[in-house]
Amino acid sequence: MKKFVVLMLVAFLFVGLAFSEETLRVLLPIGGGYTIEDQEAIGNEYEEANPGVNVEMEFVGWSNLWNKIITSIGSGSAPDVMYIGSRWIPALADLGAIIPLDEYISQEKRDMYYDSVWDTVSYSGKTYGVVRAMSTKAFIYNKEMFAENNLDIHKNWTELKTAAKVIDNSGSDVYGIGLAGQRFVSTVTQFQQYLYANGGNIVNKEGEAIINNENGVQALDFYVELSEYSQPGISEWKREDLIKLFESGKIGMFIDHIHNAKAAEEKGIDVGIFPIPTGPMGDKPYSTVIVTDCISISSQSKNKELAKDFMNFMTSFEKQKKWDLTLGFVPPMVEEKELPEFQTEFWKPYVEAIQYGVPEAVNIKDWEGVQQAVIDALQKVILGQSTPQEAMDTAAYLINLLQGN
Amino acid sequence: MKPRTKIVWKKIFLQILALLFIAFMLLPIYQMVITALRPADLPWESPSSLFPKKVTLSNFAKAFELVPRFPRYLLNSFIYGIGVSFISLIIAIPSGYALARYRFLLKKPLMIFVIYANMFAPIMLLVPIFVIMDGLGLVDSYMGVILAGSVFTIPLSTWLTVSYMQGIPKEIEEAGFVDGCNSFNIIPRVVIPLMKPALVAIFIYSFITGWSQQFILALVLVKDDKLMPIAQGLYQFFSRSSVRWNELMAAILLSTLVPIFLFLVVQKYIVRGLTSGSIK
Amino acid sequence: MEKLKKTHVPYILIIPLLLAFIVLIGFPLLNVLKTSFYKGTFLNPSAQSFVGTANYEWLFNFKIYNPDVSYFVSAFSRSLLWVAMSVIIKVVVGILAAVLLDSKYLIGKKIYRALVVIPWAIPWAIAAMMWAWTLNSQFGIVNSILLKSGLVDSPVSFFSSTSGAFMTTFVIDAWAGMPFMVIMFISGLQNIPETYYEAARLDGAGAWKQFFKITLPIMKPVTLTVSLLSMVWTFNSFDVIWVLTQGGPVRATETLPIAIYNTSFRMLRMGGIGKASAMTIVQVLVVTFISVFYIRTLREDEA
Repeated sequence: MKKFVVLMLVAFLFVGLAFSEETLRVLLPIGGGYTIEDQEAIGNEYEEANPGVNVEMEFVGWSNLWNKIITSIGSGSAPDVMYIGSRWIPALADLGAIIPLDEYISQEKRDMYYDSVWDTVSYSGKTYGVVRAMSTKAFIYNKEMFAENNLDIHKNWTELKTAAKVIDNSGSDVYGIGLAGQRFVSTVTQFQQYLYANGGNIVNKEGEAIINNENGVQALDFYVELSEYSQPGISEWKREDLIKLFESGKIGMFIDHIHNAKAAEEKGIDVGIFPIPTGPMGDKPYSTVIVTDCISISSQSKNKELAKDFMNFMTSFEKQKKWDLTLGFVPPMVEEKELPEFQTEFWKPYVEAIQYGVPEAVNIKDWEGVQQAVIDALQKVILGQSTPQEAMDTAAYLINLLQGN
Repeated sequence: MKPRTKIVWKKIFLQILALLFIAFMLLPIYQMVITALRPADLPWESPSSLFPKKVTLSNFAKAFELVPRFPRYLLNSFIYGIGVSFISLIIAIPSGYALARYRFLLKKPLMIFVIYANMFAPIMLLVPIFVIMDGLGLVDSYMGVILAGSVFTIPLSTWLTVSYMQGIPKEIEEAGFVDGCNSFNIIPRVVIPLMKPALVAIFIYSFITGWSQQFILALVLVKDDKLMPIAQGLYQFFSRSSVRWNELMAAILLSTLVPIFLFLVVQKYIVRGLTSGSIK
Repeated sequence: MEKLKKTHVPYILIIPLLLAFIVLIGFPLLNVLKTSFYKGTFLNPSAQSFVGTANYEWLFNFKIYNPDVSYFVSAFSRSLLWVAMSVIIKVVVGILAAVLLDSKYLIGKKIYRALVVIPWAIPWAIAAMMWAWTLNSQFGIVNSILLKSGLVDSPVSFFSSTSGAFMTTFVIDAWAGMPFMVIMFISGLQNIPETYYEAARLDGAGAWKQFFKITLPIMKPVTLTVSLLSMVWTFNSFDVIWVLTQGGPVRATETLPIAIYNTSFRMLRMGGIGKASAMTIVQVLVVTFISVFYIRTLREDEA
């Protein structure tokens, strides 16, 4: 009993303290390159420029970010500014948890970014976030291995498969390509590369599942075919671990972020990059999945003006440029792309791919659920439990259920 | 000569078996140790070598760099450990004494409930515990995790004190009463010193539970990074980007040293405390 | 005044315990029970609507993943099998290991006993991470040993098949629970008087015969109680599977605790707190059922 009373008193004390100055609560992720110091530095800078404002940053690991967001919304204590994965926008917008930002974004700001970037944060015709981090992917390959086997960069799937086969057969200890298959979010993105490259998608503009059309089934079929020339047991591997295989010279190529290309180079591999080749049913020279994270403002915020100001502060040209260069993220702003830092041999394919990129999750209302459905399909076919068509049909059925169709 | 050689063979055979068993039990720890000692700039070997050719201690230092809040996570785990054991002891001591020595109306149902409550695990009460903590404003707070964690150590702790008390002759307390103790201060003066082994066992068990087995509770109740315990704090660095395995293993190795050390020092007491009384 | 106080003493002493039970176990349990009759999600807890027994019906009707068996029943039966396998390993290997580590012919008994306890001190989630790396098909030492000793030609991937993942996870779970079992069994063994064995030896009985005729029968009560406890704890096991496979591949390792977590947090549209609560109530019933047996055996012992 006593403890309870003490608790209540302490709680009141804290609440009282919080009202002494304007506080802005910002939720940010850590891990995978996002450091606390870098982000707090931004907060401190803002506080200096705006005396009387207290920026309170809360940090959560990426794997807990979704949980934290939904539970704090549910308990009415959502932060003012939230860093979210753009894939979560439909779910959050539908709930009214985040507010449309169209009136806070000037035309000038709009023009600073690519159109396809704004696509990733739009839902039902409104904009719900300002993009903070963007990634595209490309193939990272071992130049030495390719040269040894007289292989060139491939422009289509036939060449891709042949190259994987040749490298795979070149030695008992070497595998052609690195593929992911573990039940993890990054595996879905890995598969999506092939899906999009083949002109397919998970849902169409109306939100209906089309993953089981010809494009999708062919993509899944190809992915599983490729796994014959990949490291064994792909269900054990996440995309994040493939780099180890590459660094130890066990695979000839794999799809990943640019910073892993650099990491491999440091370990002594002769690294090269090429854009993801288009599939037989694709209509662009090459493609990539565009994944973005963005800054959003929660509807529960009592300081919306302040939040908008901070949001713009965080995403100014200078800050964005510094952020992207430090973390190795693809620049979402048009002007950034022209900077010499992004024109190196490594950066070029990643940056060029933006124009042909397709956003990861548009019109998908329950990304977590859809993810599970896609992974199920992938794993089922890999395990030989169903044919690609069957697996995709089930996935489409589930996705339609999740979309409320 | 024959029986003697038979015995020698027997000894050798048992020794080999024991070594194999211990090898199985310590296998992942060995993997962790050789990975932690391996220089991080060496490319990975496949298949990996069984004995490290080059060793370095740099990964341990690097771990602190990569996980800037590492000391903080260690401290948090420590706080949770101490908090849970403190609450468990505070509750188990008087209850154990009452249940072992007195006859009263609620005794039987309470004893049964103590044993029954032992069967619960965090996963079962996850959502309502979250709702309650939320209502009390204790999400993302030390107190919230400590209270929630104690839920699962209190039953066993109480059971331990009851069992242990039942094994102690009443004469000692009676002497205490004669000396002028009343029903309440008999506890600190006589009962607690008597129960030492059980109390140590409870302390270790609840400390380790609070320190380390709180994975799923922390998953739900703690979102603010400042309060993350070790397991959660390190698990975060597993996602989103390629993992620096060497440094991570070094970090994990460091973090397991505390409970392992505690355990080895007091395992005698644990065995004694756990196995006295009605369990046999 | 003194007399009044004496009868009140126990009630005062148990106040903290009662409080803890009521607030931290009683309320949550009742809350889960209540929620199981409602429908809602985490995102909008205030918008819960009463649905009667619909959630319980859902347990048996939700057959999206498998047209023959509902999601809940699959998870439940998976739990039963998984728990059975893990407990069997723990008990059988546990007893044998206890006999081994208690044997008078073993040099360095004390060291072995101290070492065997170490896994217990490691958080399960972290232990699982370590096992993941140890069993990694390319870089783990297990495969290294297998390949170098010639037992296999190509690396073994422990998690990439449904049966592989299933077996590997329960073996690792057994590993995690082994220290407790071994300690319990060793203390049980130490209660068997040496004289029994001497008598048997004089009668000409060999080691195995002694084991089956003396050790096992006397150990029966300990074995029973420890097995029941282990059954319950294993039934609730979450960390190990979550870290290793997240319930995959394709739900092969999705036991009941994992399914409850997924229903609460991952299946926002199809799941929800109400359904997860219904699943939890069933889990509570199973645990209660086993506990009844457990309490009965304890009572028999005391009598």
